[in-house]
Amino acid sequence: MTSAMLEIRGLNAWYGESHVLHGVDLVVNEGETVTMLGRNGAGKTTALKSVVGLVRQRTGSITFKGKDLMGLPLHHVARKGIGFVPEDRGIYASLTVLENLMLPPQFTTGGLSIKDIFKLFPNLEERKSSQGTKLSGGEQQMLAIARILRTGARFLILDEPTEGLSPVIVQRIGEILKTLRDDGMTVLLVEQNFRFAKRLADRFYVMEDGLISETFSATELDSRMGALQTMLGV
Amino acid sequence: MDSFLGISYPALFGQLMIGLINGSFYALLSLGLAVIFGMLHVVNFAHGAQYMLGAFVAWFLLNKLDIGYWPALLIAPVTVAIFGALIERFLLSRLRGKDPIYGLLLTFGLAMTLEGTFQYLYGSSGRTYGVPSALTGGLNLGFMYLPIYRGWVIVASLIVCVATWCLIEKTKVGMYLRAATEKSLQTQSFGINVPLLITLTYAVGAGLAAFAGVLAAPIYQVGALMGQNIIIVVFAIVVIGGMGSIFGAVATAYLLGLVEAITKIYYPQGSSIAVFVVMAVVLMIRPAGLFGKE
Amino acid sequence: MTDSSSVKSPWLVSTAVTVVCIAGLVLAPFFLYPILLAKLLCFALFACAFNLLIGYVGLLSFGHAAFFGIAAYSTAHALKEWGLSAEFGLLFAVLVSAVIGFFMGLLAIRRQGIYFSMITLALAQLVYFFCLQAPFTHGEDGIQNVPRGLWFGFIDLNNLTALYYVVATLCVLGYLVIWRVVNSPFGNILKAIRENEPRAISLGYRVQRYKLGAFVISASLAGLAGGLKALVFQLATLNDVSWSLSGEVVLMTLLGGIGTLFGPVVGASLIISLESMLAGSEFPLQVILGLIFVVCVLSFSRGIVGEASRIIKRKKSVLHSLR
Repeated sequence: MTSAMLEIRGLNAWYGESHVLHGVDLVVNEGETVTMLGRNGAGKTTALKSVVGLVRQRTGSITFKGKDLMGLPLHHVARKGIGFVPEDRGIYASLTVLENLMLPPQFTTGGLSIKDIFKLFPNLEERKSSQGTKLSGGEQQMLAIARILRTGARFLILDEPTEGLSPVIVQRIGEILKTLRDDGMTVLLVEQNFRFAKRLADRFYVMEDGLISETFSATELDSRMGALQTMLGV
Repeated sequence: MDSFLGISYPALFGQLMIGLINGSFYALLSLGLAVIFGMLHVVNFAHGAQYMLGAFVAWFLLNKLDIGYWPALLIAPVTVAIFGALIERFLLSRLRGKDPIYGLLLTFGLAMTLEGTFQYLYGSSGRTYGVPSALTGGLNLGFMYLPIYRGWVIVASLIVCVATWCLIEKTKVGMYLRAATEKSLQTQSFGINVPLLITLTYAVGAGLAAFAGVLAAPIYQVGALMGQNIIIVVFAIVVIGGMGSIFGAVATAYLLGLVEAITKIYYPQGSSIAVFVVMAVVLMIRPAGLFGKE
Repeated sequence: MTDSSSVKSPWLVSTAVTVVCIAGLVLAPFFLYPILLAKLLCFALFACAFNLLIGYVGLLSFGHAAFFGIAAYSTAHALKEWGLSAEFGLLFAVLVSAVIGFFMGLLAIRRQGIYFSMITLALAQLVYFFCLQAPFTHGEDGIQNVPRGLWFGFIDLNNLTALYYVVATLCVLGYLVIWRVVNSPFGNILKAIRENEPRAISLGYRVQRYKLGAFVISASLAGLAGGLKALVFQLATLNDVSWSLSGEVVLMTLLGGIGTLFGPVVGASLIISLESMLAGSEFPLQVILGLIFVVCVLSFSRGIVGEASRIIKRKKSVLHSLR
């Protein structure tokens, strides 16, 4: 019996003056991979950032394994075992690749060792002394995911991991996420590329104008494809 | 021939030595300022006052508690660092995220308050602080006479600058610092306690200033206004070096100490304005500073 | 019906306030010591000139005493050594400040924000050291016993009341210049630059020229204030060109309200009055000023005038919503 890992109820969020989220409800159960679909500007990134605490102007309820997340200071969220891979990857120019990898502290055991990470991502080992931002887009995405895997986080939040990447890299990322899923990792994913998401996700949410407009399971995706494509403007 | 361009070698090297000594103080102070500016984006106007505090703590330790120079080299910076941590935690932290001008103004007000208080309590004139017995006297090097304490100042400041550089570039904490300087929020989202890092950074910066103050005590007199005169020169040095660069600040500091000394040899009236003239020139040619990144 | 009365009243209010102020200025020397009043006015003008840069262009100059002081020295020297009459001495001082302001501005404006402030601080130090070492300033002694002479050849400035009126007139003129600059197309462009410089550039404005123009105007008016101060006190000293004075004018403006036209006047008056009150006693003025500074910054002070006008605006909107 899977339990809810992340529960969002009635989440309203603001970016400065603009009211971006208008009452989002969302659940991610343990071991699931959940994907949020939606057009640009629908509020998907804001929702993810609200969970992690990078967006602070929020009301509503966000609980993780039953414990409230909203009241936590920003630097306490990762301790809960939540790992965030931002849309821009967030690789540090002032750190080497290895330092980028080593930066996020390990709060729980069970994370991959550096050796294991380099086995999974040999190109990162090759470039380990390079400046972080000298890597290609695909390599930076790998690095952004890899450093979270080192921390032992069991709940992964990824914001558009395949954006702007070549099909080969996208495939690689897909394989990694599949391996993680098989390993029991819980994943909340925002993706525009729903062909990519289709092969990974258990459930989908569709966000429109700061609200969840529909939710369905992976098996129902095909029947909804046409409507989705229109709605997402693809 | 034992002179160069009309100046005898002992006088020449003696003057260059003074240049290196001043450069050493400039370097320690620029380092503290650059470290604080890098992390907090605050121009710590109170830096001169913290330098003065360091010297006063050393003086106080010696004259009231009979504690000598060597313990003071540790106690004074730690004391002032704690004071700095309190300043950051309770005053400066309220300005985080605001325009850096507010931080500059706040620390300016703090400097006024601190210097005014000490001036009120101890007057404007300086008090002497003796050179520690182990470092008195000098060495005759042939081409010049080297007072041992002066040599010690140069060595001590080099050690501290290099040690600080190692701390920032080679340690885990230094890595956290560099990451937090580049992307504060994201670093926090990884679980790193950036607010604490910020407080510590300010404390370390203040401690560095205080360390310079203890080093300065036997050379210059310990006075309420000793920070005021030196801090403006240090600001100019940091502008020349490029405000974002720690290495730039330190390198420029030693360099300018020497420039000042050379000016003093050949054009004495110009020595106090040499740094500012260099600053004007650098700004015209390279507004970002010699090592600046913007 | 309800709107027309609320449109008329601000006009009436500001006219009334202006009349009261002018009346106050005219009558003041009969109640208060003219020299103190003149000093208040000089520093009020100084603060207003400084505020032009920070309040309306967004540039915090930390070296404004350079203009004030060099003008004081110029006036003092012109009146004492060259025998110029006061009006030419002041004109000379304003020109000197304008020129120095031009060159300082050229260098400082290359950078923005905090860098700009640091540069102005260091450049002002150059001026300080120049004044420290130049023979004509007499170093620590300063230029003393500056003769006041006759204004326009017939007003005896040694008559303190007459001196006050001349100073008051010039200060009011200076204030009007600032008011005019702020409320003009030039001023609007400055505000646009402060709000969003990249946008102003993309609209085709030669932003650097506008900034430099504002800098020179600010320097010139600060120079006028400095020259007047030398005239009033018959003295020009190193303190006039020191960076602690630069800091003081920042405090005056911060206290009174950055970006308000009247704020610096209030701030300057308060600080100068405070200094006068504490002059005789042993009370550490620096400490008090420093504490005021800290409190002002921490409360993100809109300053006294800024806060007052915010309260007034709130009350107005409350009244409006009640209708």
